[in-house]
Amino acid sequence: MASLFLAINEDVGTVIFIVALLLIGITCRLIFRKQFMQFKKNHPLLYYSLKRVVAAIFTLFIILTIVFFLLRALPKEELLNSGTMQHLSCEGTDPNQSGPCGVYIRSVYHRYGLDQPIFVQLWTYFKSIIPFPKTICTMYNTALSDLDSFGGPLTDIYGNSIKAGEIYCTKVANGVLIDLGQTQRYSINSSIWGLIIRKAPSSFRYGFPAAMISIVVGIIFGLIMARFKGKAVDTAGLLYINILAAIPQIVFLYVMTMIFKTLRIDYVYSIDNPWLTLGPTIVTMLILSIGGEADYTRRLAVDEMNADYVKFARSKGLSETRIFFTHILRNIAYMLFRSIPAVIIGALLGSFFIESVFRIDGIGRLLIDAITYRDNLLVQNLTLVFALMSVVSSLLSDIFGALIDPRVSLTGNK
Amino acid sequence: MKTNKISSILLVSLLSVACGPTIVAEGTYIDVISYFPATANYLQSGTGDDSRLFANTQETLFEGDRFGKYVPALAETFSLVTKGSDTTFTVTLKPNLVWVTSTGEEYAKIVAQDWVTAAQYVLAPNNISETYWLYGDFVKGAYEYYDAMSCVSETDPAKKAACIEEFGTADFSKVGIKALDERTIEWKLNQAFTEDSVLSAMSYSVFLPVNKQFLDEVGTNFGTVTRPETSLYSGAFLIDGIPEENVGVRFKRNPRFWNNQNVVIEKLQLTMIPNGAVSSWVREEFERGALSSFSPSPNDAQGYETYVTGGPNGGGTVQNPVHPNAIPVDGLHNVSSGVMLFNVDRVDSPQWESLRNRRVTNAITRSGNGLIEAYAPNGLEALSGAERERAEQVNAQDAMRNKYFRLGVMLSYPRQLQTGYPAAWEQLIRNIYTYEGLVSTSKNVDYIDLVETYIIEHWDEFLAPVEDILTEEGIARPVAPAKGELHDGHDALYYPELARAFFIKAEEELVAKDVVWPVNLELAFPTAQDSPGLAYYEEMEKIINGVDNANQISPESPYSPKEGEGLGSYGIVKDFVHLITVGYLSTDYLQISNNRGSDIGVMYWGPDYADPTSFLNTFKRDGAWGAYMGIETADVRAGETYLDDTFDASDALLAEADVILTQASQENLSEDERAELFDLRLEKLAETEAKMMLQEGLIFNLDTYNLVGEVVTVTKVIPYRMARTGVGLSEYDRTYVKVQEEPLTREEYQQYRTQWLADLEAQANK
Repeated sequence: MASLFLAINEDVGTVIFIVALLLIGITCRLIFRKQFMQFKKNHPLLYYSLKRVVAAIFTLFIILTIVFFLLRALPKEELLNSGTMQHLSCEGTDPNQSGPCGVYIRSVYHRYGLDQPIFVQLWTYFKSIIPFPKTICTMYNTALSDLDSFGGPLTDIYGNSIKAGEIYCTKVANGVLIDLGQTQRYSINSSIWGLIIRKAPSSFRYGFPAAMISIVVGIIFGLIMARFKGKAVDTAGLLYINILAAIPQIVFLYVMTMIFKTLRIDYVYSIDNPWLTLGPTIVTMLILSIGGEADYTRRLAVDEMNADYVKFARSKGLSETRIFFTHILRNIAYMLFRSIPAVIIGALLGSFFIESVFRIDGIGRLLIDAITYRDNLLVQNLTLVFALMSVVSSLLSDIFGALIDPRVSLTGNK
Repeated sequence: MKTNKISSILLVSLLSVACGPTIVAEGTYIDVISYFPATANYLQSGTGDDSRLFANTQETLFEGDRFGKYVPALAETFSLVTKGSDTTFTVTLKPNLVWVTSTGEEYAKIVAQDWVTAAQYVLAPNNISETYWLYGDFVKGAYEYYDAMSCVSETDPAKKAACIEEFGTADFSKVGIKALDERTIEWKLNQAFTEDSVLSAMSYSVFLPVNKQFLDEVGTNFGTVTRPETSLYSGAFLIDGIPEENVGVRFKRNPRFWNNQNVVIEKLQLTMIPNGAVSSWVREEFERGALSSFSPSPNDAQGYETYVTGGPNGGGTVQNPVHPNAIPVDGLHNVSSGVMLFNVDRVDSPQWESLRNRRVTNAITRSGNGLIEAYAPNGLEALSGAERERAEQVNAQDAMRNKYFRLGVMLSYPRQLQTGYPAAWEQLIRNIYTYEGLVSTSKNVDYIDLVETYIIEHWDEFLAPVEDILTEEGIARPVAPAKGELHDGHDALYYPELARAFFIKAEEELVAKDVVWPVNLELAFPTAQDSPGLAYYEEMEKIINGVDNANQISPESPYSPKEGEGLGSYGIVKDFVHLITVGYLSTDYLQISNNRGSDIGVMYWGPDYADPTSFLNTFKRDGAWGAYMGIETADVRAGETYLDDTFDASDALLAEADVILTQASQENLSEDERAELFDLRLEKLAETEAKMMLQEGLIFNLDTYNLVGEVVTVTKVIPYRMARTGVGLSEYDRTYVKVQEEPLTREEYQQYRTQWLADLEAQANK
């Protein structure tokens, strides 16, 4: 099917593919209305999750469109090299003009994908990320003469003749589903997918252990605070939580670096000793995140402590410890543990502040750097990745929740 | 070449020269960078940030040596010959040069054809080479080919035909480069050049070679930093591992480098400064052995106290710091010069009107909300708002188009206040546009001494237009600067009384233009809300605009009056000019500056090759400063030309120098005759520079980024081994670096210096 579309035309094929998917969805919904209702009844969570996936896809496209237009609203003249513009006397030149100025300006805009009408640019981008088989150029070359290495006229892969100075495609890949492309201004020509793959583990190396430890320790602290609500341990915990909440993160990080410096502990990532700084970084992240986790746990537990079933248990003469561990903990466990998938995925995406201060070459800084460097394609694709991760983590949380909470059913069977 | 001041200040202050007796033969040299290199494609990029990388992975034909001369690197021999109007530069390569892959394996021989391939690449407009113009400046037919190549990608047949009609058909055989055989490259040059000019230009990345087969293999991915396999290497180092954007780049030695016997260090590292690093970061990194050198900064109070001052009672100074490892560096003069330029065609655009409303408030002429509250009375009171502001600008433009007005501003300008923090006020001032050590005459007279001599000897000539006014006004005739005073580090051109005389002269000439006095001049500068620099600008306004009494003058001001002087030089020119200094946050300032959004602008210029013309070509009517001053746009808008006399004079003087050069380059001359003509040409250029400064007031020089002689460094790097030339890739090349385990002491540094001076003398006597 897909190859049939491709044979027609890649653009037309992609459009037909999207429209066909929509039509199939709507038709199925109308024809199999009864079955849908049955499915919703039998598999409420699955139905809910599927519905959310569909909604997320639409949301994703809206977000990407907004980001796309915001990036295009920036003046593109800033991308031109002032030295070259000066030497060519190009100030105020119309990009469509022939001659060196026009070619220079158009070449720069072409490199950054800004030479086409804006809606063509938008469609080109969407086409690259819509998972429909496509042919992409994986390598371009500059023709240094009109002749190829055998002395014959130089032609591109489609047989079109090429003139010296032109840039033309020399290698293609067929059937590519998603093409994130290459960076344009940040670490020029790096594969965007490669960057994500390279940087995510760096973030994960620090973020995952910190997140896991903070969940475990934070929950324990939160439960202890709730169990001894109003006592010294609770007051001390709340003080810690409030102090952390009040201090801006960057100030806290600065204080931590001062402490590490005083104690002569290496905390800045070094190429030669990448594992040396793991400890200080994780400790810092833990101190930052434990408070939030403990606060959340405490609030859930305290809410439950005032529930009717707890009052009932208390009136039956059950001990507070038993009530706490047998009833309250069981009821809040679902809420506590369903956040685990989101935490794991969050660890992959890193933190801008932490990565900046501890010089971790992770993904947390990448989006900020991409914006700073004005690498439009990188910003767009990172937005896509971050948004996708958010959707996936939300879904996984639901499923994880259903697995650990007997009150939630994937099937609807009681 | 315009340069980025902020990054250069940071890097120059962090970099340093050297280190001691127990040499670690397999050491690591660790440099600091503020920006990760965007590309290793040396044919495309010419930025300093990227050059730090490819200066070490690629080798140039010629490189700077430790005495400031250009010597062959990949080249073995060369000749520069002029016959009639043809100048030919021929280079023979060293034998057995090879390209190496990122894994250290030999890829191919380096041959002359690689330079031809590079030229084809650079001169293809689609490749967006940022430095192709350097090729065009030197090589015959390069600009024409580049222009004609722009027609190739034109798809519209009518436009294509028109383009070809205008620029001709591209024919690479007309570009002046040829591979005569495997080891010989021949360039036909645009005109006669001095040897230093050509050799220094050849040390730039745009004149590096590239292998055609490799280029075909990697395509437009050529030189991707994070993919070391997309580069071929001819330099001392190979990229080691995959560079990390947030961390830095590591290098290992190139086993097949031609000059391996002079590479001492085993590894090289470019380390990124972490975002948000505090001022003490470089010192702390150095102290824990993670950097090879650093410069104590006054912003790092603890470090500055430890290494320089020794605390409140320590008695240490920059010239005599307290720490035995703190060394006042006697290094290169910074090659970039800051100049003040007059904007004769200021047209504010709504695009940055919003920026103007965000300007940082501080100075005396502004109200609390940052808007200018009241200009000095000057006859335009009836107007208000934007109308008033525009009238002010037109008034200023009329005045700035008069050379005597410009000279008045220049001679009354308190430059010390604009050159940085108090410790460096005076040291950073640069009086002459070119820098010391750029070139010398055959009798070893530095070019800036020629300029200085011209100014001193022609002082009367410069004063001639105002002689009568000096007498009438009873102004004491100012004496010329003394010999040596026009070198960097002297506030030698501050003559407020003389400035007043020039303003009176300007007033006489501008009667017909109905210029109203005082003329409001707006100067934009980058700052932060709480910057101490704001106070200096406020003081600057006071000096020009006047104060009521001496209590309003900061006692710390370098211009504060001495005992019995009354108000000193404060307010001497207030009847003629009213200075309004406007601070902008750095990002806003960039927009204002790039769009010429103030009456006076500060620009920095660094040379592209070792010759005064690399600076002085900016004086041409179609040069960089003419464009920045708005000459062309003003002409178009007003249908008339401005500063004609000035630009005609500079064009004529530079043309005279060119004629002398062509005569000097003819092959039938004896060496003495040639040397004499070369010297004569330098004198002509010195005359041009002096006249444009003191006769035409085209520019006025401000400062240099950093006068290295006044900076303290703490370093493990042995000094006087690396290139001491200011242009090309050599300044970033770490081939000759040696690092010792312990920081250098001042005694050790002095030993190296003494040895170097002896070697320098021996070299000169050869």
